[in-house]
Amino acid sequence: MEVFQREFRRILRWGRLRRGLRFGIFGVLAVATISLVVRRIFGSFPPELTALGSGGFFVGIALPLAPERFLLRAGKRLGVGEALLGAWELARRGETVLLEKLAEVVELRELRPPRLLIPEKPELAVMAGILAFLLAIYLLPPIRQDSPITLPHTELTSQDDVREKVQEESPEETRALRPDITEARSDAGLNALEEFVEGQLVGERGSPGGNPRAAEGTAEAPSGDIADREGKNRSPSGSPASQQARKEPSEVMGPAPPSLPLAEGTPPEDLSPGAAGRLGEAKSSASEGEGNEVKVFAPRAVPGPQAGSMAEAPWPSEEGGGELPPEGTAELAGKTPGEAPAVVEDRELWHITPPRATEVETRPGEGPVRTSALLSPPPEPSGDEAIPYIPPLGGVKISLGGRGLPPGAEELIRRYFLLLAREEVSG
Amino acid sequence: MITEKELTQAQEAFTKLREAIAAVIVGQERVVEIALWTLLSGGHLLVEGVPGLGKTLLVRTLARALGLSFSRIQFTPDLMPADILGTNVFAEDTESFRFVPGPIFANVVLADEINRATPKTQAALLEAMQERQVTVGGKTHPLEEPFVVLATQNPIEMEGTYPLPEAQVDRFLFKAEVSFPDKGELVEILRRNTEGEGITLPDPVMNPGDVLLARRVVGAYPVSGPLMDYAARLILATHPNGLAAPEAVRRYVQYGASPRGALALVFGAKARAFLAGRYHVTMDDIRDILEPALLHRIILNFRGEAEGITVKEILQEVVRSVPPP
Repeated sequence: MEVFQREFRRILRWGRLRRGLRFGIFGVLAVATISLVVRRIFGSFPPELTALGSGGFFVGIALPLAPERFLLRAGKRLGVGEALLGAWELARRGETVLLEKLAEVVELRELRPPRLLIPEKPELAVMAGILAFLLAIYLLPPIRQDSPITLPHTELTSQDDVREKVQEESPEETRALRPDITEARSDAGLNALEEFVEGQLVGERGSPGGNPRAAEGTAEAPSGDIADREGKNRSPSGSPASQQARKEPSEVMGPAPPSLPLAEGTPPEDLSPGAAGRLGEAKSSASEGEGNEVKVFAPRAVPGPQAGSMAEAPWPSEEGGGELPPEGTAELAGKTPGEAPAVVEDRELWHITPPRATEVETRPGEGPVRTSALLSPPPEPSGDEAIPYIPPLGGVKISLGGRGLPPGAEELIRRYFLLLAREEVSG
Repeated sequence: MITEKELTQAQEAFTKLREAIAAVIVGQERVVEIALWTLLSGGHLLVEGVPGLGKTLLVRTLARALGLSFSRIQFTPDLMPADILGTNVFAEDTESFRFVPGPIFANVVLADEINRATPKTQAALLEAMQERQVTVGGKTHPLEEPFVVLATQNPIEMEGTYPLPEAQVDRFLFKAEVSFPDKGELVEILRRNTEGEGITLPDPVMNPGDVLLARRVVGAYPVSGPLMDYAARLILATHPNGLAAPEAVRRYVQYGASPRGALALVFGAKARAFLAGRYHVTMDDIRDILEPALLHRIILNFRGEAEGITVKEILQEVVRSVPPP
């Protein structure tokens, strides 16, 4: 009987070793998978944690083994079926005669437990699956972090700074390699607009004590939404750069290409209702000239409390905090100066267009991927207590991208608003 | 703990018994096998088949070869319980009542066409089969071991039959269905019955002591925890409200197998291993025993009956659905 007990102990030891190896292998694979995933997402993985995988080996050896279930499996692996389990049970009961007979039949002493270390087919399949998963993660392109875009803290204090930044971000080599970019920029009048912005910066530098309105020249621009807040509050700077900055964007930029929806050459009927309305208003505004002293505040009933708060809040004036409404507000509302304030549904300014495909990128293992954006109105606020609608930056980028802006326009717009932001802070 | 001598003696005795039965019975190996499992397990056997298939001959042969006392009860609609159990009669000489044992007092009792008797008479066997004793006139009389009831019944669709009550059916450890012999077996039956002196019953090759010894040997066979667990899960899977019940059981079964069914599985698996010359029980033993052990213990519902579902199909589904340990 003691001989059989020794045999069983020997088999159980091999069983623990097998389980330790299995735990170790799967632990290492699991840790490798986790570390790979973490590295892809966060960039690094604590190297000390990789040793955890090998700890599975010791756990597998140390944990007690349920002998009956293990012997049942081991008997099948060693080709004796349930005989090993039966022998264990006979030994436990002390049925020596039956145990001896059983040991003769199944050659219990001839068993080779090291064969237990050979992995089974399901185990191999699982291991292969994990390895394939690891390989797939390894070959995948880096995961893009969809973190919020923040404005850079760099102070663009001068034209040189702006120029340096532009040089950094759109090197000449790129332009040389992509003649279409230059062409597109030229078509869209962006080069002229860029000159205008730069001129504005120079003008700002030329009037150190003042409170220059960097964006005043865009008040009557076709995209007048932004500029209408500034109206005619312009810096009295007399520098050439300032004069250049005071020029109307239409003068600076020249005639816009017919491909742009707000260009003068575009027939209004070809535009969306909102765009056509804006175009007409911009024209009338431009014809009235700078001397227009209309002081009509036309609140806009735009969807969202943010728009409402903007309407109720006093617009900053040159004297600071006056109730002077910006020029162009009434014009935007489609009213002539002097007329009662009218409400223009900003919804008109939005128009749903079919999804536009943007650039195509090729991802390894996935093929070409095309990102599309559906241009649509912002979500309607619900109720009176609706919170101000602040569009997510990622969504704004997608919307802008979907509008088919020419290359470089986004950066220009960003810098434009950066200037405005500085103005707001300093003013 | 059994000795090597006892083990050898039991194995040799049953080898001779099988040879003796095979000399008389043509074919029907499965039924003979189930009958031997029943004998080794200490249970009772219900044999079902149409008349003329040799059911009675099989039982008579078994009883004769075992060297056990044998009695035959032909069940008829007018059979009374006292005709089976015995009765108290007045003895003039002693002027007292004396118990006259009925035919139930034998080692091997053949209850022929048991489902032709009324339920009341059938119920007379209940105590004898389970408690191995008979109570008549307030006095209990133990039955002699080994005590085996081998009952035959005709399919219930036949004329003049009464279905056995569930309580009595459950007391049969196994149920064997006698099938019609194939052509080769039929030719052999003709040859044995028509040539020479016809069929002669075998001489006894065992005695009651051998049977009891073999039962003790079989009882020492180990059934480990995982196999017991497997048997229990199989039983639970036959219950329509059980968590592990397959869809077929939920749909077509009214009552699942009783705990006696689980006992039948384990006892039968041991006996099968013993007769197979092995010293341990396997999962195949349990699976092979499943049908004779549970065939009569699962009651189909109306839907199952109406759709012609058989218990065999249900059991096959159960085996498929229960994963082995």
